Amino acid sequence: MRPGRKDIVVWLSHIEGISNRNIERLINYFCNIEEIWYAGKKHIIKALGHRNTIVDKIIKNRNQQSIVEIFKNLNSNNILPLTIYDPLYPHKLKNIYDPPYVIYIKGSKIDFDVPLISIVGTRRATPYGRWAARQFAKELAKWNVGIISGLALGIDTCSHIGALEGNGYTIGVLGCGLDQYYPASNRSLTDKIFENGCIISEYRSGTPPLKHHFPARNRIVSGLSDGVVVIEAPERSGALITVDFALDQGKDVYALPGNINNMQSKGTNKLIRDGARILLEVDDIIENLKYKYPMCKIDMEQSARDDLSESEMQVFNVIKRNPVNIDLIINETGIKAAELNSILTILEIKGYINQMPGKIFTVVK
Amino acid sequence: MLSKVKTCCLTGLIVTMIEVEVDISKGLPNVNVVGLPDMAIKESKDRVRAAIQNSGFDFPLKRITINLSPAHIKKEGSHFDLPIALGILGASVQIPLEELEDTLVLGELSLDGKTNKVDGVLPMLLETYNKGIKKVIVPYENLEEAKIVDGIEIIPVHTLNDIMLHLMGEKRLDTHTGPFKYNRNEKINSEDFKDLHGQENLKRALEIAASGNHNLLTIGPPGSGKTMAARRLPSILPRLTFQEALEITKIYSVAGLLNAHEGLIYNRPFRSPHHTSSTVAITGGGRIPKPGEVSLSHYGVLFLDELPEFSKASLEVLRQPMEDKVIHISRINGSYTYPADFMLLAAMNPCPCGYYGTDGGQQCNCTAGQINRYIGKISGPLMDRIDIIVETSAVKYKDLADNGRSESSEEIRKRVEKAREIQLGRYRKTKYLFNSQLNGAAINKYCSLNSSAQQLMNLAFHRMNLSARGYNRVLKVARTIADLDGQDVICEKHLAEALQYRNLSGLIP
Repeated sequence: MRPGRKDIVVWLSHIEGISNRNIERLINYFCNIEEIWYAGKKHIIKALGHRNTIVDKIIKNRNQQSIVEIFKNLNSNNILPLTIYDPLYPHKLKNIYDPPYVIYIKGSKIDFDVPLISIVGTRRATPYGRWAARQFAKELAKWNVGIISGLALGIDTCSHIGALEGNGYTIGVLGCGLDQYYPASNRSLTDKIFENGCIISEYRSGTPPLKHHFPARNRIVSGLSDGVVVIEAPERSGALITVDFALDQGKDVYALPGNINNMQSKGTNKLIRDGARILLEVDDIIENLKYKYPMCKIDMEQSARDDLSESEMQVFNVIKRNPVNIDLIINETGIKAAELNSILTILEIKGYINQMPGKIFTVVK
Repeated sequence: MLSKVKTCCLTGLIVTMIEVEVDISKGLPNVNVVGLPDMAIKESKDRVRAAIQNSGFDFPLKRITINLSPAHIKKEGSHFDLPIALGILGASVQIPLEELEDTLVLGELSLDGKTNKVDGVLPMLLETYNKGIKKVIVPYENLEEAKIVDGIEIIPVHTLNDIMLHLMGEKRLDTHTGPFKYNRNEKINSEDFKDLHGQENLKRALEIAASGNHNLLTIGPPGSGKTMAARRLPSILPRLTFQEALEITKIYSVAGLLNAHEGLIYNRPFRSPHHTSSTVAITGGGRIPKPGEVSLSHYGVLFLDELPEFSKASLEVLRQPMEDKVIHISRINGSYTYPADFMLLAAMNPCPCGYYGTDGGQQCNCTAGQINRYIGKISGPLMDRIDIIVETSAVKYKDLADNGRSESSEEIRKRVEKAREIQLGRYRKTKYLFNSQLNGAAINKYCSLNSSAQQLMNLAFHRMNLSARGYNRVLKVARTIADLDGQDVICEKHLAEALQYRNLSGLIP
C-alpha cells in the first residue's frame, strides 16, 4: 500500500530527533511529500542539509511496518493525529508563522471553532494571580468561551481549574508527548481535562519535556486562541514569549494590572504601558470577541434546571420575574417561612440569587 | 408604759425584721421618732395622730418616743404607720397588744383612719415567714398579694378602727389562711398572632428567638409591622413557672407596680421604655434604688423600639446585665442587686428617614454619612449579643391576598415550650439553660453538624464572608432551629435557615 501524505507526515514526526523545521524543509524540497517514500538518500540529504543524522533514521524506518505500528499505537492510546492537510486541522493555527505539521490530540471534546482565549502567566503566582486566573476563566466559561493554557503550575493550572469550575471547555497544550503527565502533580487535573476538553501536543508519544519545547509550545497556545490574557508575569517570563507570538500572529493581548511593587506583576504592568489591553472585567474580553462570534452567556435558566430541586426551582421562578420580598414569596408559593429561608440560603450559596436590604431577593445578573 | 410591735423593712430585696418600740412618759407633749427613719416615717407621726383621733381614740398628750430597732439600719417606707399607731395605743393602755406578740404589722394610714396599700408586701412576707412569723396584719388591698405566701395567717384590715375592735375582742376580723394554688393556665392578656397577617418571616424568627431565648433585632421601614409583631411576643413565650412568677411579682411589688387587689403576676413582663429613657431608668436607681427596666422585664421581654434613638449610654449599660442576668446598683445607702434576666427585642429603621432599601412609594433621602452615623450608634459589643437579625419591609395590602388564617399564638407556643424542654434536658447538669447562652467550647460540644451541614457551612463561610463571631451566632441559632424540629444533630436545612438570620445587606458594621 502506498502511504498518503497525512500518513507520511505523521510517520515523519515519529522519527527520533526530527523537528518541525526539518519536516518543513522536506515538504518544501519535494513538491509532493509522498515522494519521500521512494526518494534516494542524496535527495533527502540535500533537503535537510549535509551531515544530518536524521537522514539515516528516515531511511531505516521507511517501511510499511513502522507506519502500521505508529497508527496502532495512536489508536490504542485514543490519540488523534491531525496533520495540516486535514480539514479538521484548526485554521487559526494554520495561519500562524511556523505552524506544526501535525498535532496530537487526546480528549473527549475537540472543537477549535468556538471562541478561545488563552490565559497564561508565571508559575510562581501570587494568591492574587491565582484568584484572578480562576475567576476570569470561570466567568469566560459562563460565556461559552474555551480556555487554553499550558498546564504548567501556577497561573496555567488555575485557569484550567477555573474553566472546569465554570463547566466550560478547556484545552491544555503540552511540551511533551501525550503519554505522560507533566507536571506530575497535575495528573488529576489532566484527567479532568480529558473529560471536558482536550490536551494537544505537537510531539509524538514518548517525547520528554525538553526545555526548548516550551517556548515552541507557546506559539500553539497563542495560535489557537482569539486573544491572550496575561495574568501575572515577571519581567522575563515564558508568558511574555507567548505575548510575542500573539503579537506576531495578530491576536489581542490583555494584561491584568497588578501592584507596581510586585515582581510578578512587573511584566504585565509593562505590557499595559506598552499598549496591551487592560483587563479589568470579563466584559473587556467579551466586547472584542463579539466582532467575531455571536456571543451569548449560558442561559442561567438552563443550568438552574439541571442544578435545582423542585422547590428551589419554584422559588427561583418567583424571584426571576421581579425582585421580590420574602413575605411575597411566602404568599405566592405557600412555602413555610422555615423551609423558605433554608431554600433561599441554598440558592444564594449556589450563586443564583442575591439578597438586598429589606430582605428583597433578585437573580444574579 | 412601753409597747412593742413587729414590722419589717426592705432594702432592695433584702428584708430586715424591725421592732417598733413606743414609750410614753411624763413631760411636755412631744413625739420623737428615732432609729434612722426617712422622711416618710418622720411624717408618719402626724398621720398617726390624726388617724387615732379620727378613729375615736385619744392621742396621749405626753412625751412619746418611738424607736425603730435595730437602730443602725436606715429605714424607709410608709408601712410603719399602722405599727406605730398600734404601739401608741398599746403604750397608752387603750387596747391590749398581747395578741400581737408574733404578728407582723404592715400598713399606711389615712387621716381618717383608713389603711392604704403598701409596696413590697410579697418579698417582706416571704422572708419573715421563713424567719418564723406565722401571722400578719396587712391592708385589705394587699390581701391578694399576701395570699401568695403559702400557709401564712392573714388578717386584712380596712381601717384602724377594725383592728382595734378586733384586738379588744368586740368584733373579730376574718383571717385568711390556706394553701396557695398556682393556676398556670391563667389567662394571658396579650395580643394574639392570629390577628397578624403576613410577616411570616418575622413570625418565624420570633418563634426561634422565643425558643432559644435569643436576642432579636428587626430592621425595617416604618409601618412594616415591627412593633405589632413585637407586642405579640409574650403570647408565645412559655407559661411562667410558680418560682418565676414569684420572682417577678417580688420585683413589681418592690417597685410599687402591683395593682391593688392584684396577686401573682401571671403574664411575662413586656417592657417597652421610650427612647428618651435615662440610663438610670433602664438600670434602676435613685437615692434608694428601685428596679429599672432591665429588672422589670425579668423573665420577660425588654422591647427597645427605635433602637438607635436611645442615648448611647443607655444602650451600653445593657451589656453587663445581658451577660450576668443580674444588675448591681451601688448608692450611698448601700449596694442593691436586682435580677435582670430578660430577652432583648429591638426594632429600628434602616436609616434616619426610614426608607432606605425600600422600593416604590417612599424614597430614602439620607446621605451615606447619616446612615453610617445612625447605624454606628449600636456598638459592636451590643450587636454581638444579638443572635437574630430580621429585615422586614412594608408590604402593600393588595399584595397580601388573605390566604387563610394565621397561626394562633397558642399553637406557636406549644412548639416553643417543646423546644425549651429539650434544651433544659440537654443542659441539665451545666450552667446553661438555653442555646443563646452557649459560648466557645460549649458551642463545639452541643452544636454538632452533620456532614452535609458541615459542607454547607464551609461554603457559606467563604461565599457569605462570615466572621468568627457570626459563625458562632449562626451555630447557636441553628441549634435552636434543630430543637424546634426535634433533631439531635444540626442538618443542612437547619443551618441554611439560620444563615438567613444573619445580617447580609451590609447595613450593620
